Amino acid sequence: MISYNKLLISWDKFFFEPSPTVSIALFRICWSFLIAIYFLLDLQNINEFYGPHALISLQTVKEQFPFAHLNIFHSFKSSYEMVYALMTVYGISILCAFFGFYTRTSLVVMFICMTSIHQRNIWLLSSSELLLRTITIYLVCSPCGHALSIDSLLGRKFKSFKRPRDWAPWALRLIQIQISVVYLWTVWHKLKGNDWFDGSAVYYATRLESMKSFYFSPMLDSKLFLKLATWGTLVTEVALGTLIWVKEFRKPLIVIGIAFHLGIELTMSIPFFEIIMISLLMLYLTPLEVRVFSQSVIGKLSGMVNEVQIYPKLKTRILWMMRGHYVEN
Amino acid sequence: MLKIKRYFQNTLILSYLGIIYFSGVPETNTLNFRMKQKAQDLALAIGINPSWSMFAPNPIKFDSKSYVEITYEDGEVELHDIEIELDGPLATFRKARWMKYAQDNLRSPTQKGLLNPAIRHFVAKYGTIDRPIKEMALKRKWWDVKPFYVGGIDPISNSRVLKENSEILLTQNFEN
Repeated sequence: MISYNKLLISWDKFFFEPSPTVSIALFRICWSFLIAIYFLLDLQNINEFYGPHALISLQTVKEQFPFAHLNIFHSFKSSYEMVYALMTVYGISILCAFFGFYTRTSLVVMFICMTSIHQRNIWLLSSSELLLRTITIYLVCSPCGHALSIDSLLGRKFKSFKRPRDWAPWALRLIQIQISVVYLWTVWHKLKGNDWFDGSAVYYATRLESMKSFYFSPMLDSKLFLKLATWGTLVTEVALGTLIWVKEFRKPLIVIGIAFHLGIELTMSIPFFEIIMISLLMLYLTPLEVRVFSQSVIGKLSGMVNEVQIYPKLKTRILWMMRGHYVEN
Repeated sequence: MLKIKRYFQNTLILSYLGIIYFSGVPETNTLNFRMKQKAQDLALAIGINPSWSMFAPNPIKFDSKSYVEITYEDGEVELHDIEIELDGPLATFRKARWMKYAQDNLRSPTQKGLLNPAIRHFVAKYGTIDRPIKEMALKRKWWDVKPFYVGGIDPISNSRVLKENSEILLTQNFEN
């Protein structure tokens, strides 16, 4: 039986033992990039979805959601000026979050703008947007600006920007728990239906015209494969929600998870969700593994820069910027 | 100060775990039953509600499209797909939003509140003073996927249509 003290020590180790912030910082960059794509998407939808003559008026949103919710559209008169001003702030905050400039403030502003855009017309949203909002809240609480950021570069010169490189990973842990919850929740709901038990679910899901991808795998015409894919989905999702916490299974499961989501991405048209899940799975890599991976990528990029014929001082500067962070650590 | 900070962080973590647990857990005992609704409301308010139930409990078994049918006063009838044609690098993603609105929400019996605003929008979009609208109808068409266990399955590369079904979601007359 585990004693109370041992439990407390394990809890403390799991949530608060300082660890390098490089993995959560790398994730911040990926996440901001994904949100930037959504931003570009929304920028093209202003007329139909967010402007004063949108498909659903602001008045309808108010009528449908009479309770308090975060939406700064309600604080202003509906106009194109307001929407473009919001989009400008949103865009700047994404850029700042990506480069890690005033990272926490940028993430807060980004979250407020993103949530307002989402709540302006929630009838367009899917699970991926909910995931974007949820994970961004955790990122705000995390030390994701402490590495791979302009803030960390400024920290070398200015005391006010100086932050420790090692930090309690509790926000990262909450994201990891959230990912497990996503997988277990979906399995729990699938088990309430019949199609996942009798092996027909993948057949129906892949036969929808609206979900049709550009690629048709001939295997999806085999009844046996369709059944195995249906049951395999359940097994994979259970494993990704539970066994990923076991050290021995972690790496193989990350690979299986990536293959699983790439498979769905290839055979079905579900924009973004699979890419989001793949980037979230990367959070299960330890900071050391992330560092080894980053260093190999940076090493290759440095080699490429070295071969390019440019002004020598500029080349040295670029190489310093690329390598500098890791040299210092 | 550090102790207070740690106390606050622990409270935050425990609250989070509590909300996630109670909002998803089956109502098998009194505690779960009492806490579930409160936890779900809280999870919804702060945006951490676990609602990832894609293709669950069963995948849908039909393709659906929503249309707007306009009868002008000059007698001409036009049928427009509610999802607009899109192209460009982000077309697939932009299309997904239209699909969510037109295929999932507009047809849903729980989202009847969307029908009148949609009519208002399309009247402004398609009606002009020179060409007034007499009647507008929101329609839905759907096509069922062939059942898995009846005969051979539909090959994935084929059009998977059994027969076309249709229903009128809302009709509005604008004649004075």
